[in-house]
Amino acid sequence: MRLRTVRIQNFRGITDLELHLDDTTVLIGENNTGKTTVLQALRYALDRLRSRRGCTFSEFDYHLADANSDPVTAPEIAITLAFAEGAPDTEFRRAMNEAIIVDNEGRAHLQLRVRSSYDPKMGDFSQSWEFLNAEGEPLVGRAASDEFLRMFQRTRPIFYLSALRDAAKEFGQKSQFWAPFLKGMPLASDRKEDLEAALCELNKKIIAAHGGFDGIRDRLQELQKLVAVGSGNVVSVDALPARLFDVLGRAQVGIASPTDARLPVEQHGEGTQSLAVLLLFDTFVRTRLSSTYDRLATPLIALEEPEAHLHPCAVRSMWRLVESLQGQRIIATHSGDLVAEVPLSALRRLQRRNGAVVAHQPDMSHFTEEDLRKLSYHVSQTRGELLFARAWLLVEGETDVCVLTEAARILGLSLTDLGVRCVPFQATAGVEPFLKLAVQLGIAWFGLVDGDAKGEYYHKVMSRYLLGSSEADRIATIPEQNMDVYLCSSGYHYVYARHLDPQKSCTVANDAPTPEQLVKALPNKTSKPAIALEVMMEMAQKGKKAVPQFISDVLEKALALAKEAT
Amino acid sequence: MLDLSDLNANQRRAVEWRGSHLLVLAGPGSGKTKVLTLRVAKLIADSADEYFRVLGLTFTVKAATEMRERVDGLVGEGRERALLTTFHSFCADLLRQHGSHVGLRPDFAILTQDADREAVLHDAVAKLAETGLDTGDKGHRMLPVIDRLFADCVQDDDVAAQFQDHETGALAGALFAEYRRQLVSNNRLDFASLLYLTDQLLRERPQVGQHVQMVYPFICVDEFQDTNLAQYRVLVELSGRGSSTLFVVADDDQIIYQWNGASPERLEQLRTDFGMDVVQLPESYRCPGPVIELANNLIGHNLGRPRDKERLLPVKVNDSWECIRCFRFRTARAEAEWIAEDILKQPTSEHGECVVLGRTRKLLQEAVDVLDSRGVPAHLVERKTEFDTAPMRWLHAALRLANARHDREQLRRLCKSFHGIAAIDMRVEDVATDADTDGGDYLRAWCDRALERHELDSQTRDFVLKSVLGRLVDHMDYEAFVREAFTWVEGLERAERAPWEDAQSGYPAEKELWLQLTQDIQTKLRGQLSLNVLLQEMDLAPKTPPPPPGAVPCMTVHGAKGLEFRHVYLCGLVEDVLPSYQSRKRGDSSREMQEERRNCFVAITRAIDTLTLTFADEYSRWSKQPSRFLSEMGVRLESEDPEA
Repeated sequence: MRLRTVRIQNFRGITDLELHLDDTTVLIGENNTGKTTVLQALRYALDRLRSRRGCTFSEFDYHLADANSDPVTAPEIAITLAFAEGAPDTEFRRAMNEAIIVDNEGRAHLQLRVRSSYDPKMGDFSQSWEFLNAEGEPLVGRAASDEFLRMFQRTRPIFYLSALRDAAKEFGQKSQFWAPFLKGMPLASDRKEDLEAALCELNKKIIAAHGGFDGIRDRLQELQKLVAVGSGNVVSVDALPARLFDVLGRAQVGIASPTDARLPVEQHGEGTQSLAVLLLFDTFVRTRLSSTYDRLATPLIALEEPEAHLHPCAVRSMWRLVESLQGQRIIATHSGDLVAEVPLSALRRLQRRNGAVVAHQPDMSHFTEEDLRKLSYHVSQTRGELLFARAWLLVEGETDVCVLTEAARILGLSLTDLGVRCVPFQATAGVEPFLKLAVQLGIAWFGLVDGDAKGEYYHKVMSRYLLGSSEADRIATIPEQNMDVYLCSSGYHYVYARHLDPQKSCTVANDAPTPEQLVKALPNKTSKPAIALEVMMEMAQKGKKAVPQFISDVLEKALALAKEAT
Repeated sequence: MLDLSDLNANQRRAVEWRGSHLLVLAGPGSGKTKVLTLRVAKLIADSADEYFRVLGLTFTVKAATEMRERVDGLVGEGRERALLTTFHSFCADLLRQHGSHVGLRPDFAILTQDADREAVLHDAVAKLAETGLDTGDKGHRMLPVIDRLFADCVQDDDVAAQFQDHETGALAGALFAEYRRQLVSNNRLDFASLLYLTDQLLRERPQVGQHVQMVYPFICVDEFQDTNLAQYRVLVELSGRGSSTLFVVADDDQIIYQWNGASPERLEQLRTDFGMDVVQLPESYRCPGPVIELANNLIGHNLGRPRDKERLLPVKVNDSWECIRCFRFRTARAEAEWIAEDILKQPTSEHGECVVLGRTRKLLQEAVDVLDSRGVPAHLVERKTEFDTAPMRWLHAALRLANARHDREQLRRLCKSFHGIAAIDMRVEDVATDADTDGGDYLRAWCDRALERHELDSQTRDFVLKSVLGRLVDHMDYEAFVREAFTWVEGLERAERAPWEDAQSGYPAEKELWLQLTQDIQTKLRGQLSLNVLLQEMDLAPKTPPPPPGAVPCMTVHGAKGLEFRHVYLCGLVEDVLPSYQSRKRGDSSREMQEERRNCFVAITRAIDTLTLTFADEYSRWSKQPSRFLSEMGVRLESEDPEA
């Protein structure tokens, strides 16, 4: 039985969001698009609580629609979790029978809804937990009891691992993951006595060898005269704790540093600490969870920024660790390197649109195997960060990327700041897989195609993915055969002419070749993007006005799309 | 570890049974409840690491409560894995959870009174009339027909075939379907439709049944002989036609609910349908040897009992024949007076351990009157579906109205019972009109109108304001409301004693019953109760207060089923009474006559120490012959009228 859908209404910045969850789900999206809010919502619904009474939400958890909103009048928070089983999960059904609903295929479902709002009659915020029937009405009877809710929460505990993974805290005596290991193993009493005797012996030896405590011990003996303490030799100086439980309580993890010096884990760098905490957590889940919670416990792991403080190569390996964590995993990340490792189907892109948070969840049925292979090669493997863009400028080749990037700089526009990425789709990949991905993830796109036959074909393909927008807003065709010819014909003829091979100038039929002829006559080894860069440098010297209208129009339109997507 | 040491070999075999479906044929006093509870406890104790549940189904709330208490005492951890409940209550559980598949919401109400059910019938008749089907007067009298269709679980397509007259068949079919539609669309059920809709749910959604079997791989049934067809069908579906293991306790000699759809053939059907193994418990720990002999003699006259059925064996073998007495009187009055005299000879402390059993309520009423006139407190035990006294009726109506704020029938009861308590007349129409112009909340409107009444005393004003409005109407805090309602009623000052203040049968007894039922329901559901669940479960429980301590209970044989008493007085043993007139009319070997014989069998086997059989020559001036059952039992009639 896994969590399949979460619906969040009027919680913090989210008004109404429905999110489908896989065994592993990766949330991406800009800051303030609600990734943490989603994880927190799950935490509020599943965290163990003492009683249904009282309210665990804070006043700022209520959705405040504008500057004058007040939590008292804010709409009701509702977080609805829908669980469903894959194969029949007999034991879970038995344990949670009273809240199980069976669908027409015989699959078991369980729905839990947490609601909270201000109750004017009570004069306080109130909160309710309800299991729901197939129609979303609260179930009554045993399913409505506190005991039942607690039992459920024991079988589906949530662990929230925030971006800050502090080893000093997580490996401390009070850590929920570390403490069970300290307490876990009771020793036989004779074995315990042996060890404590040995400790005592060792202690004496250390103190005797040190010899510096004698004076202080004698002085402290005088305590006896002033206050009630034990009798006999009341003061001892202990280099080591005398009792075994105390020793175990102080047990700490040491990790050898690159110099082989053994350092406590919290003295290592943040990256190492973060990894160590994750590994500790995983071991806890594997070995201690069922005794600490319930035999049926399957954890829900909410993991924020697993990439924090890690080297990009380590980030990529991190994915394997995350995938091996026992339980259902929900990850929020800003790392292109991490996303590069994630299957597209696991991605959920959160976005703010017209003030509301929406989630884009790729419908994998739209992609062919070939699409996925191409995307894996051109996006996931090499440019994971593309998935974080607001808008893509889809262009045919490197020259276009170079020209648009530079032109934007000349115009003082920052493509990066506004989340626009140039994506050369290249002849090998074709444009269609990119278009599908953009549509599925809700990434806005603007297409720039060459003025040749191929360009016309791409234009046609793009026009199938307009989703109602006008062609003029989304696709532009270069007024010439391609970008090189266009630059050449836009007053930079001379730059191209510089690159003609003097010996082969005969290839140019006349003294005033057309731009097409000129570009065609360039020697085979010439790098066209390099010439384009020269052109752009010339253009930069001339200033903003030198940027051709067509280019600046393309940029303006792409930036407009990106702005719309905020 | 469970202690099984005081079980006999047969009981032990049943408790430790590891095979498939088992039928335990258990004679009266054979320790069947003990076997059943130990069986449930053992299944749980032997599987401490498992999550599966054990379902124990009974026919009465009392039996379920008793079994739950025993099982709770036997198993510590894991007790919540046993669900011991009645057929009806389990169906209510299923419909609360899965009822959306048949159009019900979890907070449905249960109609217990015929008046409420007739109102539904009238609505159904009216609805059919709208569609052009005029059922005439006939329609309004069809509740018994509908009940029979429910009990036999007749499907819509088969209704017509149940009637010889085609027209009546068509009418009944339309009305039966419309009656159910009326119930479901108003989110209400009655006892009969509770089973019918469960059967429908399980047939239409086999996935729900499969889930039940996954959760409850073991199903135990008490008193199986009482099942009607609807209950049997539900049981078959619940068990997945045998994929859950059945453990069924029954006694074919104690079938006395034939009129309600039980039948001896059903036990045979169970044995064939499930291929059950059988363990018999013939040892009777309750009755003295001579009573067992009478019982064996009597029941041997019933034809068609299973050939392998063993004779009862008394465990108590030292009792002499003096434990059985039989007396003949001239009149029913003389009979009753002698019984009173005889009971008076017993020490007062043993009066509560006597019982007067009779086939008819009329006989018993006579006994109660005579006993009362002799200064022996007596109590006529009657099954009640609703509370009787004004304060309890008011309380119940207020809670029901709080749960369904627009229920005019509950408003009517609220007004009527309030008049009984506070002598203030509130008109239903006025309150309803107020409510309809302001949100439709009858309970709030009732409070508002009550508060306008200048004759309201200050205590009541305070109560209506703080408790009814403050607790119940606004916050649904029914627990505090109930506590404060008791305080209010008990604190009222009155010029003269209200009729319901009688400690014996009145308000105090009903209040005790309310508290007891609430506690039982809480134990069963193991958690806080929402108001609608409390009301549903309360509706499923009979409202019969326990007999006041020391009073002699007088009850019908049906009421005494499952009970035992030290001294049993069975009166009215004449032809036309026991056996009844109807059964004689049907013939000496009719099913009805056999049921009468079983009635007599059940009656005499209630006795722990003594059994006294009495009859008179004349009842209501009609002369009657001694019951055939006397000679069938082998009772010699020489010791006649002790006064003669």
